[in-house]
Amino acid sequence: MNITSVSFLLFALAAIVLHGVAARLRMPALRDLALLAANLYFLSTFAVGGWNGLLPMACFLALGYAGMRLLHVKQGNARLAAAVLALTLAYFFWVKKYAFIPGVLLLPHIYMTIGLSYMFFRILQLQIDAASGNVQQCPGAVAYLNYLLSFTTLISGPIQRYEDFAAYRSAPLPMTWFAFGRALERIAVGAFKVMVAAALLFAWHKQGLIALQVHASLIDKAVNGTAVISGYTLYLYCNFSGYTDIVIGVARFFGNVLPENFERPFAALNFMDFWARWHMTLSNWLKTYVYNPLVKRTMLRFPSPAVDPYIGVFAFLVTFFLIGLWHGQTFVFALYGLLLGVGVSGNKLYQVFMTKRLGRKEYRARAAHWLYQACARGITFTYFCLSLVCFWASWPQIVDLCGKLGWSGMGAVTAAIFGAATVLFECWERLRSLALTPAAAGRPLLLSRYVRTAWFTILVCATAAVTALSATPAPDIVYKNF
Amino acid sequence: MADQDPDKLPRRDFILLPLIALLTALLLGGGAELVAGLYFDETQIGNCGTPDPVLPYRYAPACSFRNKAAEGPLVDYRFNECGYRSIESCKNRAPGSTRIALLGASTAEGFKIDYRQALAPRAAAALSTSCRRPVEIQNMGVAGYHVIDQYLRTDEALALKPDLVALVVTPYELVDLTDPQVLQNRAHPERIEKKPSAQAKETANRSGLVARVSAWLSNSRAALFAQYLLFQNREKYVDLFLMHGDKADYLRPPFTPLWEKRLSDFDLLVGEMADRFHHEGVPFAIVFTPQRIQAALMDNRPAGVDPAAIDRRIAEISARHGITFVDTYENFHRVAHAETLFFPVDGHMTASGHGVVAHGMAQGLLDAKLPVFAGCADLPRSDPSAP
Repeated sequence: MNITSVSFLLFALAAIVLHGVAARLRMPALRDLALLAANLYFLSTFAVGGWNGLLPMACFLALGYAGMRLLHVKQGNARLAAAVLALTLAYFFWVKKYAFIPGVLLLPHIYMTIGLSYMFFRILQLQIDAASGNVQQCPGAVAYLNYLLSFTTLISGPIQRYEDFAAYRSAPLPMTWFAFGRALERIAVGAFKVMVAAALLFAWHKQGLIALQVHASLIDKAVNGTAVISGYTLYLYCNFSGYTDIVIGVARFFGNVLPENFERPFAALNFMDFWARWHMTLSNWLKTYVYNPLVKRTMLRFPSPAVDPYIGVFAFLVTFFLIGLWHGQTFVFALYGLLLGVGVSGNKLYQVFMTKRLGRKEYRARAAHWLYQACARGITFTYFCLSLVCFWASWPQIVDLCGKLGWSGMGAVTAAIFGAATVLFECWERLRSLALTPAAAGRPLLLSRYVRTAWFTILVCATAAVTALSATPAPDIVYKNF
Repeated sequence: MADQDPDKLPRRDFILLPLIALLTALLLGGGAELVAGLYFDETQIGNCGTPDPVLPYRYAPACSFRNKAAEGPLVDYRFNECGYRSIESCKNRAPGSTRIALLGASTAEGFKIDYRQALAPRAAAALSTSCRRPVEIQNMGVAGYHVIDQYLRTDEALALKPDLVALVVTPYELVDLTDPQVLQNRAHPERIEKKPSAQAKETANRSGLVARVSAWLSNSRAALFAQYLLFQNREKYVDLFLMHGDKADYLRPPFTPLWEKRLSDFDLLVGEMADRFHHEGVPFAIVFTPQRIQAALMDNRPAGVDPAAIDRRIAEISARHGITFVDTYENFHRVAHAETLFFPVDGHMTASGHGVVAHGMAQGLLDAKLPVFAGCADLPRSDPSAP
């Protein structure tokens, strides 16, 4: 079921009504079963390969559940925890057909893998927390399945912590008129991003790719290369953040507040800041379960204050390399991870270097200058755009793109993206701040419910018109494939 | 930053917020209408329509006007001294030339098409090249004419002393049923009582509000723009067109009784026309041109749909009366995405579409081995859709 389809909206409406009726009866078990029925139905719409196609996912869920239970019972057993986590990891790599697994070992038939990557994080979190005693009570089978298969987070997250999920399950937030309006607004914004903005940006990216196939001048190469490379980044943002907006809006009707995944990422002043604003739940998960433990263990191993800053650099490299690997099974994704790792750790190194050279106060003062910030935004965006090529293109496509652009073309594209991003994002920030200045009763006028109602209507009308009239449907959610 | 949630939404907001939404939607609609109006503007400078005692209207002799239809370019329409859209005089025929009297409705007339790009002059040019002598077409086509109107012009066509009479037929010209009173009195036009058209009657029968809403919708540029975008998508266009009942039934054989009635009237009228022309020793040809839906259905058709069924039936009718049948539908097969050769909403052919029809018509007439084209060479196989 496509998340932007009318059938999804009808399904979500039916699930909300069913859940609401069960909640009215004040029977939490019935409410959870209703939710499970909705989740299983949603999952079934992606079924492939008959019953055989369901087995690998069912086994993954069972393995995760058994591992969590076992680790909860044998809390503090580090070897057992390592063994269970290794088994979970190995199973994940196997069903996801990572390139390093020999082909003969892979399952030959088609099976369902939708949402597996996001289940993987949740299962690991449950197992690690169970092993370390952070979970007081393990979830029962229904709660476990509802947590992992929740239709609002199945396809592409956001990765909600179990404690938060359980808290909202036991005491769902009441639905007020305000919450109702905001949830609807969130869905409308998300639908607009996915169905209109992302569709247009994807068309721009594709058009650029086609235009690059013909011999052209350096200026044409720069224009088309910019469309291809920055177009995809903006498209991915609209596609993914739009999806997140929709599911956050829908989840609110179930009394659940899903965590945010995006916080104006292109306003980021450096690459570390960028990752605190882009796919935030993934970054936070990795910070909690990879970065922090890694830093802690390395510091224990090398207890020297002089080494401390470089431990952070190393931990960033490892963490972001893992982010890249998680995205895909081929070596191009390893390269993607490496580029992200180099970006973040390089950023950290630069901060260490500048702080040493200028002193913390002077460095901060320089970094606060508007021109510095505008350029920093431009560099961050450009680096991310270039890294992201490994995300959307296969190795032959990357070679082809580089061949078409040539060294001069690549230089021109990089300069064009940097220049455009620096100027446009600076203008955007200034415009935004200007637009939010007029206030009434101490609050920006632009964010009043009256203005937002008008804005909501415009988005709904535009989305409906574009969807009904466009010749090609909007692209599907990109992260659905992970 | 956002307004904080008070415990309850103020009561006024239950009226204000929906009102704001409604006003915004209305403003958007108005804005869309305004913008679409700029893009799909309509203008007409001059008017050549003159009343006729029997026919719906005629074009005045030696008249011209300019028209920009909402979905189409600005076009100059010039009529010769007989009120036909031809640059050649209808009275003075060039020595050694071959003359074709072309009957038909908007397609024959070249509605929305610059004169040089329309099918009549292009077919004439192709035939002239092929036959190495001037071939002129007196284009008698008038937009909105029904087959019975063509029947009533039989003598007028013969008065041109043509070497061939050709009738251009498109399925939508058959949709309106023939007025029984006109059909009954067809041999005595002076007895025909002119009545308002079916569309005018339908509009008059509607209540005021419905008529106004309907008129607004049919005149709305925003609605036209929406349809224009919608119909670019072949699948959506086909699905929506096939939702029509009677209008689309000619695509779903066997034909319904209503379509059988239309075709039987057509059979009767063209049969009698053929008898008259043949009696005068003038060959008669029917040139079939497809509708956009038929072009859209060429590569991929749903079960039970046969876009060529009507062509075959008209071919059968033509054969029965000794009429030369030229099917230009086949020529559209040679063009990828043939539905793009038509204006999406209005359905008339574009200049490229006229190119395909002109080529098909000329080649079809040559292939028919009519004595009038004896010794003419085949047409070169160039891109038929090239304007």
